[in-house]
Amino acid sequence: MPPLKSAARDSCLDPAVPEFDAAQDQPPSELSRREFLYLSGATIALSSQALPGCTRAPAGKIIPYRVQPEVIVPGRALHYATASTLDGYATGILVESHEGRPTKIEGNPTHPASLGACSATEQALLLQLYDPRRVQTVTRRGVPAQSRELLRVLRAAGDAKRGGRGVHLVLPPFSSPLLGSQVAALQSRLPELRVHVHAPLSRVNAWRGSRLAFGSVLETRVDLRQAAVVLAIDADLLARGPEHLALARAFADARRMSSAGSPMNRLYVAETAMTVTGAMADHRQAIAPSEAPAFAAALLHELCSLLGSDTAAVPAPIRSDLSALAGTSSVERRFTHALARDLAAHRGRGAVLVGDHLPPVVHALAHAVNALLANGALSYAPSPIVLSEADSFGSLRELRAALDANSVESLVVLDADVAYASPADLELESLIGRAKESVCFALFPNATWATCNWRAPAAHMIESWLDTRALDGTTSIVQPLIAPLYSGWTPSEVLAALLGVESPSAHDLLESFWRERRTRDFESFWEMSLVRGTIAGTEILQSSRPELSWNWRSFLEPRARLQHEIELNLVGDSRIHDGRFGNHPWLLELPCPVTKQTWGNAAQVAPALARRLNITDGDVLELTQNGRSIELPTLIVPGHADGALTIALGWGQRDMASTESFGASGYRLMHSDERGGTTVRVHATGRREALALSQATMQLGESADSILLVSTLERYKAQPRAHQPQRKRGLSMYVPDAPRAARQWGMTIDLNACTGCSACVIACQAENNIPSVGKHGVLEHREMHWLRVDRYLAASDSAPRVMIQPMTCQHCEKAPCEYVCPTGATVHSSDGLNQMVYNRCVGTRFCSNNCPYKVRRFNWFDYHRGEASPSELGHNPEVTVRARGVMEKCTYCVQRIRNAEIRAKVARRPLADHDVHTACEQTCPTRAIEFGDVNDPHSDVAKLRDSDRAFQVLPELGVEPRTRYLMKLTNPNPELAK
Amino acid sequence: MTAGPVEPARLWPTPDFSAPADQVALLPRAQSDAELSAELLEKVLHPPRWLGTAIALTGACSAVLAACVVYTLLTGIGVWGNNIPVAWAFGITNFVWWIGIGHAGTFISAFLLLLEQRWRTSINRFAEAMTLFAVVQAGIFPLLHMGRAWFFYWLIPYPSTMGVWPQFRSSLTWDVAAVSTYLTVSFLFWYLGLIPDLAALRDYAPERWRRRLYAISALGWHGSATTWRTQRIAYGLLAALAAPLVVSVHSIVSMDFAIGVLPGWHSTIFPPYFVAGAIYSGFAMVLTLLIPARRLYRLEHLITTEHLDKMAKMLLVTGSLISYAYVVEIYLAWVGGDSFERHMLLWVRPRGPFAPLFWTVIACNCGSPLFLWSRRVRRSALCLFTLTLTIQLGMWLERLMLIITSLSADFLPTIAHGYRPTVIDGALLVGTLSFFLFLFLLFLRFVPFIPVSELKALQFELRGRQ
Repeated sequence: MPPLKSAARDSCLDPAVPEFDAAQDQPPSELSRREFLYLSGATIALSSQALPGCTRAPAGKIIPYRVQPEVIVPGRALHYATASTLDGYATGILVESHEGRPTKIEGNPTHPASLGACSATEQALLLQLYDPRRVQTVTRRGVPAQSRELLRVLRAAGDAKRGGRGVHLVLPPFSSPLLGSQVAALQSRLPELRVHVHAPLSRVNAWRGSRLAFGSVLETRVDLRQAAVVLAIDADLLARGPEHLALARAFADARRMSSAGSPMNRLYVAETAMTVTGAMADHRQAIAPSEAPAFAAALLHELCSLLGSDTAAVPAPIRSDLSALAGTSSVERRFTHALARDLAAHRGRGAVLVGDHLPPVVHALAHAVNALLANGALSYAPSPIVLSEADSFGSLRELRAALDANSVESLVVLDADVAYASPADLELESLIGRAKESVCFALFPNATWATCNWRAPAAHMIESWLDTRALDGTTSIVQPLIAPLYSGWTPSEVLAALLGVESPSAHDLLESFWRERRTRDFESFWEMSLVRGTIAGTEILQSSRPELSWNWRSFLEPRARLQHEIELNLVGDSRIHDGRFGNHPWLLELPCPVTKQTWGNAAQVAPALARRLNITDGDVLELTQNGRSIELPTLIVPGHADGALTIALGWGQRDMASTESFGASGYRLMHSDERGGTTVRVHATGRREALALSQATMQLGESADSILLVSTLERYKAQPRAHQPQRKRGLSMYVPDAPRAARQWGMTIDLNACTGCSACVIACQAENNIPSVGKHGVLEHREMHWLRVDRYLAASDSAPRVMIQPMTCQHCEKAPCEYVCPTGATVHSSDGLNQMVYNRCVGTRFCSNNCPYKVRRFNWFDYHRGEASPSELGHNPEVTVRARGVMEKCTYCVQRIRNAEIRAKVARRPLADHDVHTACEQTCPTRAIEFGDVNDPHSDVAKLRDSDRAFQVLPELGVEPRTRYLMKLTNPNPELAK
Repeated sequence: MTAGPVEPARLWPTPDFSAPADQVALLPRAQSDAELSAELLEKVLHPPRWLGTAIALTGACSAVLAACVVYTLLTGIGVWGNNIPVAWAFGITNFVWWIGIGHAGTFISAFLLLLEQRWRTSINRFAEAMTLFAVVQAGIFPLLHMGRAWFFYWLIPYPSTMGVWPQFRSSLTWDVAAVSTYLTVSFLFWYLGLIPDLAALRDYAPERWRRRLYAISALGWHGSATTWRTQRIAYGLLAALAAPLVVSVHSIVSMDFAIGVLPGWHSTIFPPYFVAGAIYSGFAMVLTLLIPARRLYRLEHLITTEHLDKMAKMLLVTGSLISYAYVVEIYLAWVGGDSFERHMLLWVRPRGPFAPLFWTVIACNCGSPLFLWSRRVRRSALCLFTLTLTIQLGMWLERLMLIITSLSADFLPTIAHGYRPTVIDGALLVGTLSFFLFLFLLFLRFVPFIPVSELKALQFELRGRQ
């Protein structure tokens, strides 16, 4: 990582850099031939790729690096540390930049919420930056306006004389210390200012639960490495939440099974819809949302009787309430009992975790269970989210009342789509117009943007100066890599304008904020923080084990069982979150890790319910609640709780920049009282709609063993090599004649660690300039993803066993694609790569036909031609953009291999084991993917290939794939296995 | 001057064909050479009225083909219904089907010539022309189905300045060699047989432009004994060259599938199975064209019921071969022990989503030829015509079934996906059918489609001695 403060400072796009040096208009006194060629070459190169969206006159870009910045070497990528924020919680990232253009997002290894990994949403921020549909101009009632007019409006709203009367500020949750101080300053300056913090998927319920249990807002943190038994109650802890990347890593570390003797944790999941975590569970129990409190109570009840005197702390009235509530649990007693025994047997080494959206009492019950068991894996600390203690969360009803009463003078909405992503009963979309002056800062023209009279562009994260904190409090400085493409405003600039600052600059605000706090040796502090991406010593100290209070008895009332009704379960979408990425082609096309649906949402139901309702996949249902209804196609999900219907939120946005809308909005069925647990009326319309599924629901048949191997821990420990059939290399007349280099690249994928989260798919897409093909393309099965995540189901419909298998080019040593290519466009390299020569490909597609893994992708159309500027700027310049009519496929990130080889050669050192990371390997949260030289016996990948669990897919074909998989193991509770 | 029959060059001693049955059956009406010439050449010089309309109609439909080809080339293969995993579908099906149809002509001309089957004489030119035009249709698809068709020449071994050669292990490069050889030899064979008749037309034609045209086409034929002798030797040699091609071309085409690893493709019985299928569909196509042409041109005395009967017997033989191949294919999968292969042939094809396709194929290809055991059916033009249409449909569907079932559900169940053709796919198929008919009608319009000279030679052989 080069020690550079800001990419933007050195970029041609930064308005702060003077256009020309002082003597620029004079001809150079002595122009050598070399210098002349250098200048004219640069002129031609740069004039041909004028950067759009630049606020500068084009003349300024002709010779951007008259004085070339020291660190910029054309062709060599630079990485800058920054952080992305989702619902207030930061994840540290590294942004790769090629000559001033951000091109790829990776995780920051030094950041505790990332550990070098990155989820799909963070990586997708890159394409969002370049999206031509972003809000680009300031408008007032649809007419272009000047930024300074907007500044005047904001300053008028923040006028101290008015005291903030009628001024409402809507913000997404934030952890930024700078914004925190600004909001505090605003609140003291404008005593009547109302701040509403809104995010549909916030952790309010978790905080309320901790307030019930501990009396204050505490975030639960868990170290899954220390937990032998984990229970997740509707908590998708491996794929969602502020720390899921780190949790997934820890979880996988506890299941790595480097040898047959290694310990392995056991995961129980009780949940409604099938999630990534549920798919990884050793035991999974489907429960309807309303059953969660009863289930948690039943568990606590069981534990009380199991632990006996150790649970003396539980007050008697609570005990009786628990037993009453436990009686209503529909979960089989056998399951609860076995689970409780397992937890009790691993006292101190268990963890019970609860989904953020579940009612506070479930959180309180889980806290009680964890406290009773003295589970050491859990720790508690105050939340880094500013205002989490205040009642600003969920105060949209107050905003609605104010709008209703016509008492809103100024409404300032900062990057929060309240009109769309809020419960429909608030009717904010129609009411926002009642505010006298409404200002919306948005990245995309969303529903809120459309209803406000002042509309302004928000700055993208990659264009902003800000600070932000992770769940554990670690603070990062968000630094821009490019000057704002559309002069977007950062939140700090907006708040500063409200505070009356003349011409706010995000950088100066941030720097002065931190300068006040770090007076000693500020420069090196600042430099270090930017380089590392984290500020040392900002973690929030963990509270000592908080005292558990038991005064939440009133919440333990058994709810009436919802008989013969279908419960509504509204969940955040695994890809587009709460809808903020609802127009993002990468994420829309990323198959849902569980359902494999793309480009839309669906009404997910259990097979049993579908049978009762006599509906099948694709039948359009009309779903009604409180007089509002939406229409969604059915999607049958094995393992879904019977009696409930799940809808992913965030879809069906009409206003996200004039694209087609996909799916329907679950917010229409959301009530401001609670997010789930209500019922929904279902009516089959009789129409059908095609679901864009990237793969069908597949039950593994007779040939399962040649595709993937699964075993139980017990069987594996007894006979580690039992599942390893003696597969010798078969006799063959066909000996590959390619010369073999000393280095032979290979990959292993640990199916025991892979959660199927699909971050690798987006990493591959970003790294390799892979186009999206749209809903129609997916329906026709023309996805271009080089890496897909296959999902297989086994066992029964109600309790399926899910098996995940990332599938990409296996780089077969005897590749069947190679001998059928008539032009020799796919050939083997001496270091074992199955290469694709795009230039030589004529597109007969024979190679795809003959690929047993079907991992080759064909350019059916000229997919890149339709790209609107400036999205092409996000392409990786090291990877060819493929033309129409050629085949493409995974290259093992050959550009990264060659780069590493060149760097090692220049440095005159041998290539070390982890010098090359493929994009998928680098981003994998669980490090399931290992890549390296299989010829080097000391490399990790070679060791894994030789491990007991290693196997090939389709070994009988004799193609000798270079990618090997490691057998998946489950660790069922013997008590339940019987 | 008529191109009179001269004693043909003998490649081997002609056995004594004095059986009167042949004579009556193949040439029931005794006509003088002059009468024969006049009748057959007249049909070219004064074509029936309907022909012009038919040519215009099929020409217009061929324009649709051209439009679809241009659209595909400009937009991409995405306008077809292909996908991953079904990366080949209509395009390759059409290719294999058309090339299969193209087999009958050479089989009739070359094989039957070498075997001295005299009943071939009335129909051989017809069949050869059909071959030629079918191969032209077939040639469209391998070119068009390529993602970058404009680089098709990379499949041809030419000394490139970069020293890059085609990849010779691929059956697609073998295809290029096989099909282009076949096209060349078929054309030469057809044209060589045509020359004496073109010369006759040159001499008969009333208009000057026509005489000019035929004079150029006849390549200076003057009917001397030496010319005849040379022509017959060349014809015989080309027949000897063309006969093995009948076997080799479709064997090589079958290897487009057989060298693949896919269950249902990876099979050693493909070459004979494909050759039998090709001749089967080819004979069906000859009959499909012959029966209406014979009727419209009133040539029942030259293309007799006996001809139809013999052709129908060929259909029965090749149809039985095909049925046998189906049985063997399934049996081998059953006993072969490869679970994917077994799944493909015992489940996916007969019981999977494409089962209707499979059973239609069985009904058309194995069921319908059974009617040909009946002599009455064999000798009824209408029945034969219907059956040949059924067989052609069956053979086309067979290739489609073979390609898309294996591709749509091969090894990993997660990637399984069906296939649905687009309008362009359909238009290309219909377009090539029209273009084929268009070329064929042009052939009827400008060239004597019954070899006059050969017929006279046959007549001499059969009756001359009396």
